[in-house]
Amino acid sequence: MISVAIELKKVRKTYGTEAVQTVALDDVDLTIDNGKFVVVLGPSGSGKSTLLNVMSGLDHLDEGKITIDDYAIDSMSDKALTQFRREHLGFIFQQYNLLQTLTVKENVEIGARLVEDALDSEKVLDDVGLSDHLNKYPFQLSGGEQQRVSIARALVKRPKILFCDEPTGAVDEETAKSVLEILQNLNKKYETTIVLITHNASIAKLAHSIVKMNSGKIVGVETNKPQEARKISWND
Amino acid sequence: MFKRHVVRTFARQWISVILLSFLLIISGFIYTIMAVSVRTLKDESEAYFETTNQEDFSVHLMRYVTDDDQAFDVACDFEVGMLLSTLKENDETCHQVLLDARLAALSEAEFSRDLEYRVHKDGYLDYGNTRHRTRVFRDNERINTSRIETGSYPESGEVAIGRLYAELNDLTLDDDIELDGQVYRISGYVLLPDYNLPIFEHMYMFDSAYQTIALVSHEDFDALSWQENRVLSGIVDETMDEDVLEETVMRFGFVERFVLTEHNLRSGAIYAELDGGQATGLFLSIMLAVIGLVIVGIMVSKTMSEERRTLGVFKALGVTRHEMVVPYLIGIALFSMISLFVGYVLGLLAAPWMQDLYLRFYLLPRGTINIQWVDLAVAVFVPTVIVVCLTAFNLYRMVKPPAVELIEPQVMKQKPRRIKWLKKLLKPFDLLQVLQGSMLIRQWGKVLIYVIGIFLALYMVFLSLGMRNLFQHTMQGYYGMHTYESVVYCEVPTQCDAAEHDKGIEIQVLVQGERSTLLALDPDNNTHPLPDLNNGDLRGKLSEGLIISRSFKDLTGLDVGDRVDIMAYGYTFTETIVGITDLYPGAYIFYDREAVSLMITQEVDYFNRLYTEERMETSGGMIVHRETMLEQVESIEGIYQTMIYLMVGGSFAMAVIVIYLLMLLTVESKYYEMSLFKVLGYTNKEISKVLLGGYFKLNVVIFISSIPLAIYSFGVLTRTMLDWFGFFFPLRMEHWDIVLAFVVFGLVAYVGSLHARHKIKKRSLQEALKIYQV
Repeated sequence: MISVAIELKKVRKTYGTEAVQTVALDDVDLTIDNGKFVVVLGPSGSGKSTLLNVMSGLDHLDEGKITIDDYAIDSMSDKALTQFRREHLGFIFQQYNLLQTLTVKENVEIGARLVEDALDSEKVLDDVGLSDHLNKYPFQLSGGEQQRVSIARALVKRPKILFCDEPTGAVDEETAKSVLEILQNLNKKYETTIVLITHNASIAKLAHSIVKMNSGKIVGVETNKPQEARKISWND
Repeated sequence: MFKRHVVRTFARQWISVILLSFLLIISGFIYTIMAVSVRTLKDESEAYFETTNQEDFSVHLMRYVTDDDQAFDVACDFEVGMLLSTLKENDETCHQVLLDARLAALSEAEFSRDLEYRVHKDGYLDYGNTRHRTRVFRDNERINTSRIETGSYPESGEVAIGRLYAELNDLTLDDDIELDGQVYRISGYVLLPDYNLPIFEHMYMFDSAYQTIALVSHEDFDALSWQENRVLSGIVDETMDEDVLEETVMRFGFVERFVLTEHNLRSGAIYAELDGGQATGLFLSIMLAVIGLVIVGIMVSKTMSEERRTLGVFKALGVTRHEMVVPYLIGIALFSMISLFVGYVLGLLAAPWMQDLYLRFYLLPRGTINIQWVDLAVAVFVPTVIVVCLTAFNLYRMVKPPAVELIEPQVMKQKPRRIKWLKKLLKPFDLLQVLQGSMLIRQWGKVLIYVIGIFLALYMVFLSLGMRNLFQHTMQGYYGMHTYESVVYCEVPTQCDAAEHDKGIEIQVLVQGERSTLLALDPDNNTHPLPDLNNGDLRGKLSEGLIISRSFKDLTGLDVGDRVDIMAYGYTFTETIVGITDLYPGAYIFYDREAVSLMITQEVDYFNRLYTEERMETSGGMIVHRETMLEQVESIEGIYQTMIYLMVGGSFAMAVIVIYLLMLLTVESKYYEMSLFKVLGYTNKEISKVLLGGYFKLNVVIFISSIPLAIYSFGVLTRTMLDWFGFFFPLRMEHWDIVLAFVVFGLVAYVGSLHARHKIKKRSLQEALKIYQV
């Protein structure tokens, strides 16, 4: 039986003042199963980034409940949330966010030292195809390679869930494909639940599920057939 | 648009802006107050010294007839050893003939342009129930002539005293005081160029509340029954070499001591004091201005760096570099100029107070505050122009790249050599420590300012603490432990009333070439203990060898077991150091009285000091009471303590501001790293450790390295004071000073970093999801 990784119930989030309020998330209900690769798709301003922020505990919600692996993260203190992120979650950003004064291996070790049972940094870097670049600095790598370092840094601490915020937004098409393939392989190899946010519909094909958003609401959830989720054709 | 940006930039960081403004105000204030008050005093004093013909040197003559005196071709009958005052009583003409002969002999040696005797009498000034020491003069004809500040020159039955003494003792013109049992009316306040510090017997005693110079008419001076003393004052040509001058003078057997004015505490200390005050004021203000202005530059550069993307967009839209940069430069210029100008105005307003503070110790004419445009330029315009130029250079460079490049995230394009070097150095260390180090070294400019600011503040703290026990080490320690009540400085050696009193010999000697004072005592004396470092007593060892004071040991490095050459009265003998006495009277050494007596006179009864257990009032010489000395010490100590507390407080305030501002700037420039670490799961404590831990370690390094540097500079300062003035100024760093400085410095660093920690805690987690710039 497949267990539930993330569950959102009646989640509501607004921004602005009392006079002028923008509803970023409006009564959102969502369930994501363990080990699945889920893509959240939507145009700019649809609320997908806010969804990622509240789902991962980076931002507080106004109403509703969010449960990750039976932990109710909406009622956690900041300290408990930090500990939770440390042990269970990984993040990949659009702009890689690597520490420029550290080498590739050292950047990954920054992630590894957060948990006691971290994976071997060199092994993870081998998994993302960077075993030849261990002692290089970020500025000596291409954009795609830097994003792979970012993936390795997130994965090395064995997160149960990996949140990716437009991970291919800053790279070219070919590089984007290779980055997504790596994510797909790692999802299979380590059975890590992946939640990826994008506005690019082509990426959606590699996911098990596609969550479509518009105006702060989930307007549809689609499930890809297993054979469909193998290859990406880049149309967008 | 950009004007609004600038205003918002300053408004957003209002705490930092206020603190920076405070630093700049202090900088302008210190420079102006010191420059204006010192220049006013200096100009006034130089004119005063010129018109009163201040001596270039003074020569102390033997008070008794010497072999050289007998060699003069004069028709007088006097014996070697005869007291000059006795000679005067017996035959006043012959006394004058001898004095003239001495003057003529020195004049013929052609080392000076002019010579004149300076005559004074030491006694007491009485009014009501108060009795204070006074040194009474009659006016000279050519050298060291007096100046009446207020009132008139004293005629018969009148006296002019020091203005400061009068003010501190509520005396005014026309009040009556007594000298030697006679009533005198105060006719004026007098200044003497050779006594701008009223130092009579002891060089640590110059508090004008307890002693004063006094000027009376020639007739009244002659009528005073007190012992007459004379010193020869001289004026030289500027080309005269000091060493040749001293050597020439010291060849005469009737010369006891030769002192150049610039090395004479009572008349020359003011030169070093004013030059030192001006240099210190300039140095401190420059340091504060540099620290403050560099921080302003960093703040503005940081703000523009954060707006790099926006600036890129503006540039793409056609906004020129000047249009982007100039508003920031105008903002900086206005901020710097206003802050520095406020400091300048406050400095001008406080300059008279500063002048009065100098005049609390120095007997000099009070001048009208001398304002010059150059002060405004140096205090306000020069620092402003420098910071605007430096910031302009930085900002124009920052917005030079094409618009597209500005819009793109900024990334490090190559590994700086210093990071490569650091990585090698920190190879054995933990990754977070490497990260701490690399973060510090990437912002080396800020770190340099941080190091300079903290080091300066720490040094001032150590200096203040080092001065704290100055009087305990010297006067209180020395006089506090003695059991005598009075010291008698015998007018003629061996001719004081010595019955049942402890004898001593005090002479100037050279020990291994170092000028020092030899105090010869009897091993069984009851009044002058010589405590060792373990609370024992070394008096019994006086007959075994030489005992040196702890201060002399500190100055020379000599220790127990060392054999030293001692030169006195043309004799040289070698002796072994057998003990270190825990006393700080200066460059003092102690030896057996009988041995010294034998060396000087071939007899064992020679002495020129008496130490009495009862209070003495008359005994054939000048008398100094221990109680009076201690009373004066406490008075001066009170003033010193206030100044020391102000220095410590000011240093800590400066340290807090520097630590606060730079830590805040560091934290603010690391927004993205902070968010990244937070998102990754690092706790606030761990993030503080990474971002601020480097500063903590830097603090420890600065603190540790400042200790030997402070100790070294204390040694240099102490030696300089001793070499220049023969004044022992024992700056010492006790263990407790280090502990105290460490505790308070730790507290300051903690308080300074509190806001930075608060900022880390408040940092949004979502920053890491935005465009990341390095």
